[in-house]
Amino acid sequence: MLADKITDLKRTIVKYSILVREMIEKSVMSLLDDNECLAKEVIEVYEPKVNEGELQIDEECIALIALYHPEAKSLRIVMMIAKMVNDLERMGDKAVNIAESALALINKPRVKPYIDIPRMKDETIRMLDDSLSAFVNEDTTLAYDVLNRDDTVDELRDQIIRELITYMAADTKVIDPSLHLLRIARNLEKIADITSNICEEVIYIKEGKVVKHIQDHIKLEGKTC
Amino acid sequence: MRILGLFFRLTGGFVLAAAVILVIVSAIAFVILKTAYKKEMQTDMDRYAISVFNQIEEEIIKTPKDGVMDVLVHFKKQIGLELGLYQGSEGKFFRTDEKIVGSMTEYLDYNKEEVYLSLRNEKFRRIIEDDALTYLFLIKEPVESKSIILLRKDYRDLVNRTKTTALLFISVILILIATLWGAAYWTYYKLVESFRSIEKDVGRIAGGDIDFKLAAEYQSELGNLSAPIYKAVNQLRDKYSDLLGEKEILETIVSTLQGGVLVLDESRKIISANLPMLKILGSDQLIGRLYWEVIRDLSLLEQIERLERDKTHLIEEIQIQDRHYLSTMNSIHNGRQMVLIFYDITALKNLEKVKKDFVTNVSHELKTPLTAIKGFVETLIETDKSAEHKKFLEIIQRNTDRLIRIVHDLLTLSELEQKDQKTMLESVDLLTLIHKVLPVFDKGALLKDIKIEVDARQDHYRILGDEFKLEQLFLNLIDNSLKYTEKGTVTINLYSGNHEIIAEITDTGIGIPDKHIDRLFERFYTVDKSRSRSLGGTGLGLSIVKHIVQIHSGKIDVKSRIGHGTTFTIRFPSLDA
Repeated sequence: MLADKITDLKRTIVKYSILVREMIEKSVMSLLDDNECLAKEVIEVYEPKVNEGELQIDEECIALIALYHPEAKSLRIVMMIAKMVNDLERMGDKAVNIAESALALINKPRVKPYIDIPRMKDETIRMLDDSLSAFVNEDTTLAYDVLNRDDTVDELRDQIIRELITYMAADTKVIDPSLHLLRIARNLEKIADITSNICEEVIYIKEGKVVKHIQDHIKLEGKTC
Repeated sequence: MRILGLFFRLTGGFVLAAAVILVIVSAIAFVILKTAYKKEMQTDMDRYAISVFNQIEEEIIKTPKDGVMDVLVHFKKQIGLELGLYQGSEGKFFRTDEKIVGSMTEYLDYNKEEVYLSLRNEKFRRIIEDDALTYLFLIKEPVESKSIILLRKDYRDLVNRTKTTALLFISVILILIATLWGAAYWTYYKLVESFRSIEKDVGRIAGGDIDFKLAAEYQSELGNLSAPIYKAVNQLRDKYSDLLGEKEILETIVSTLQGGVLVLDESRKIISANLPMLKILGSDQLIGRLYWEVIRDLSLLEQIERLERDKTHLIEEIQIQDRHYLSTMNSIHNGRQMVLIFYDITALKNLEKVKKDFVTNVSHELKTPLTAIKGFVETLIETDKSAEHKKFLEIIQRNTDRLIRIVHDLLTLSELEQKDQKTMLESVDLLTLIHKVLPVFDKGALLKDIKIEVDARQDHYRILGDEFKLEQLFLNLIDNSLKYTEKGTVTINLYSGNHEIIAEITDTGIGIPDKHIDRLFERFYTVDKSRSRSLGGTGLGLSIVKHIVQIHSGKIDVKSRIGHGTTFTIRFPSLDA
């Protein structure tokens, strides 16, 4: 009975993550394809859905704890899902930020060709996908791998910032669009950061080990895996 | 152990009963034997005692008083019986054994007179005790001595003899029972062995191992039991191998299919998936996993959930990553299993897009020259006075108008077909909208003397929609109804129900033959080409209608009877629900 309920809850959270994943994808795609509709869809359709979903899953978690008194691993999973839904909703908020900045940039001359942003998006989405797989399969190896990949996104963001500073120094007219691009890059990086949270939770569920706030430690362990 | 337990349960009762009966029989036999022995001994002893008494009497008479004891001892040795002498006159008692004293002294003391009296008339008196038999004789001379001779025969021998006989009897019977019991066990053991053999085979069958040679054929009654079992197993084996063969064929077919096949079981785990499916879902391990663990596409997840809920049959176009699929989803065994089949229709979709782009471009290119032609023809009609020229020019104008309408409709259609294009949907009241559309038809209806009626009970029928497109929808439908109706009415019926708003447009026109109904909404499809042309139809009107309905997540149905009229029913999701 409890196992069934947890499976249901897992299914709901997986569906919710896919929704958020689509939202992130669309927010960036709106910028890359100059598609205003996509950006508006993210803000007007996805955002309310994601917000509503968060409340709903939260309620389901509380109801499950109240009714079934889960213990040990079951409790850890329910608690993790409650945290995960929070993380995912924050990712949704970041996607809205991206979409807003995208709206300011769409159909305007590009400051620079978008090369690093799609790479950043692909990497972030892959991290989210992998963290989801790690969660579904309780695969800690994959979780450690995702934690280590966070640096790639950080580097890409730094690269974009450096590049934009050069452009802004050269031409004051591009400051406004550059700031928007910067915002997009930073939000993508934040999304990648939140993805690592999910992986840390996965490790906690499987191994009962807290790997938060000890980055170096993780890297050592990750390499051995 | 279990077998022995059963054996004891089966035979224990009988053995116990036999033992009880044996004990009772032995007890009875013992008593009977003892009585019979006693009686026989009494008769013997009676005769013996008399003969012995005569000798003792003679001897005692001869012997002086102090020699009596020696005589008694002498006779005891000779005849093996205990002896005693009671001299009533002097109250003296001689005896060879203590026991004679105990009971007899008391007895004789109390019953002296009676004993003397009886002994005078009879030869002897017999006293029967539990453990012995005592004979009393009176010595006749001298009469005054009143001496009595006691002869005592012990019973112990007799009891011992009886006991031995009884024991022998019991032993024989016990041995007999044991032998019989043993024989019964042997038979039973053999039977159980046979059962065990069958049990072993049946156990193997139960374990799923039916591919074995039969261990043994059983005779007699067991044969009757085992034969059908083995027959059934043989049949099962044949059927199983048939099934295996069929399964193999099926698996080969499924694996060689171009389309992806996915089968889910009751707990929604994937039980079968072929190679193309692995590619579609981008995962190398699907079997045994829950579908939502591997499917990373929201629309597909939602469709599976819908199928789970409705337990029906769905055919949908679905986009996974960059590819388009036509998915057929079936719920089988009353929703216990689901079969999903995906055909890759990306190439077709691309082709369709090319075709549509082509139509759109051509239409665009045609529109400009047509506008020019129309303008100049109109100018010519106004300026050219020649009647013959005017006639030709009017023909040109009519056909140009028709061409322009077709181009216009084509453009509308291609605009509607562009899926990416998001329509801004807002709350629209259908009743207000219809009243806004109706004045357009006033003139036409008046000319043909057709009444247009609107039937609505509520004040508002609000749906989420695009006002401009909905206007076009009703324009097309009412225009159609008017075109094909010669007399009577066109009724627009609005009502709501089941979270839906339903609009019915009914005419009393010529009706549509059944065979055309299915193709009615195709582009350029007209029921009667010549009539359509004379009425100025482009064959695109209903196709546009269908697309507008789809944009509003609605459904459209047609019902028609030839000569009686046609009803178009459109269902929109209600906003008020």
